[in-house]
Amino acid sequence: MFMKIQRAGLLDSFQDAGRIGLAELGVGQGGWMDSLSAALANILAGNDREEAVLEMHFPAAQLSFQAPVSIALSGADFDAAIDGVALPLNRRINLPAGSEIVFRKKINGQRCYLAIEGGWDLPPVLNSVSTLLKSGLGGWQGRALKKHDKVPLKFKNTLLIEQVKVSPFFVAPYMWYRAAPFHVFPGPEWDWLSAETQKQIMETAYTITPSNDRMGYRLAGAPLEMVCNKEMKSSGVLPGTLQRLPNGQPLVLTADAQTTGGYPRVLQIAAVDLSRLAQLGTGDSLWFSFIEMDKAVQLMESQQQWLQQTEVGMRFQISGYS
Amino acid sequence: MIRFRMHRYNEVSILLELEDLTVETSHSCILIVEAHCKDTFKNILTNRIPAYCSLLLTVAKSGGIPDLEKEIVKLLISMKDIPEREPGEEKLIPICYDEQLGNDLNKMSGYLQIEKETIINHHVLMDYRVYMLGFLPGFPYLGFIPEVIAMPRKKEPVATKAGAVGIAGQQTGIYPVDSPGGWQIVGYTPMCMFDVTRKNPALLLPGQRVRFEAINLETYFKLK
Repeated sequence: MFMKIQRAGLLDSFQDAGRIGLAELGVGQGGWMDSLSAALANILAGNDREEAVLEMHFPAAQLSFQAPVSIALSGADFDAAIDGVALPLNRRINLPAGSEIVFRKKINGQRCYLAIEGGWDLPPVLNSVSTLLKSGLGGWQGRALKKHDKVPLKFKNTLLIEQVKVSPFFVAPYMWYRAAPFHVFPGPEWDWLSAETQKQIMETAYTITPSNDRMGYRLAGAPLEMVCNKEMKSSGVLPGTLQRLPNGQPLVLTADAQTTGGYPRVLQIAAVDLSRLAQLGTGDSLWFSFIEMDKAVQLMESQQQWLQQTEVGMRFQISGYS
Repeated sequence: MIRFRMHRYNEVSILLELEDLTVETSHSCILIVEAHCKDTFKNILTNRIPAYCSLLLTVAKSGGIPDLEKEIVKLLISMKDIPEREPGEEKLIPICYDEQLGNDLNKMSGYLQIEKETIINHHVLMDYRVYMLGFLPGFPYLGFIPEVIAMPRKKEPVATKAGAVGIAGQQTGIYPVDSPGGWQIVGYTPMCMFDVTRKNPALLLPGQRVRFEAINLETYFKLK
């Protein structure tokens, strides 16, 4: 049982929650950029939330399945279709043998997640099957998917599926495309910015430049003026860290960022907002708003609760559906 | 008493920064705190990033942070004598400075106005310590090279080979994989810096002492 790549996409890689507890070796957590969408896809496919999913960028790969499978798509809308019939996001979909999925156009978002019931059969590397492109580790042969790849599935579907069947139930996504400021905390070097920049950065929008990927997004906007020109000793960084580059512009780190950095860390985007950030791309604007730590923790907890409730609800739905 | 700053980094992370100490002392102290937290909070700690004078710690749930902070403060207050140097084992890293492998020694020699042999001698004779791993899995930051051979990074990153030993400022480091890189390359080691099939994937760890051993081209290819 395989998934076959009929045509390669721009960057399609397997991702799970990533590698935990190896940061002191220079191995960042990595993993899916949009953890919420990945979790939804897994829940709808009937998987554990930790199962690896396929993270796709646009243009996405053309995929085919030799045997019947149950899948779910979540995150960005790339107008998926089989034989000209559109496949919706955030629903469970049963596919007959020989189905071929194409992604026709980018409607919104940047990263679409495909989960498949039972998951793909991939060997874990350092306790994760996430693809770490810069080291050529994990996922499928440590790289993005290419034409003619045949990736084995773990689970043999015994259902007799004769035609594409979309579940009547679905999950409403957690409002991640809603235009809203990104919640931030002051970074360790926030005080290095001039008072005027401190005001400006919270009041003006920054645009994502074409230089954005799984490691970081370069932003463009009002330059960040410094009052402190101390040389910074390299220190730990995390996804969501906004650094000031030597040219005065910001760089926001994302999932595959390095673990240490030497540029001033002026803001930190709250972890609760990183899934939303993962769906923004070139030309999109973002702006920032400070949030109290307690409030951010509360938001994170309610996000997790929502996910848990969704999971329980879906288990129930799926159990009565074939 | 050690002066420090505890910064709440995000919902689930804190950053400890030490002030006023020499970088050697700071680093020893950071590694002591790291080791202590690793033992005491193994059930809640998810990631640890020790660096020169700082330690970034991430926990599974934000509720664990107050206890973690309290324990670190208690430990720092109780610290009086910090060993200047971790008595860790010394690792010998073979390095080939032969120009046939391709390096930046000619360019460096012109920029620094120093003979290539002098650069090599300065680089090979120092006693280094691993300050941190970062940039790429298994990339060690070693300190420090003498100021006379310190070089700024390249303006634009260039394709750099696995095993390349580079210089940036007063640091020297080793590329574990082929990668774009901005460090000035002095030589190559045949050693594999990061291998997921080993029990300890990273060849060097923070706190270890390192010396380079110059080898010729023939030995380089034999060891590779």
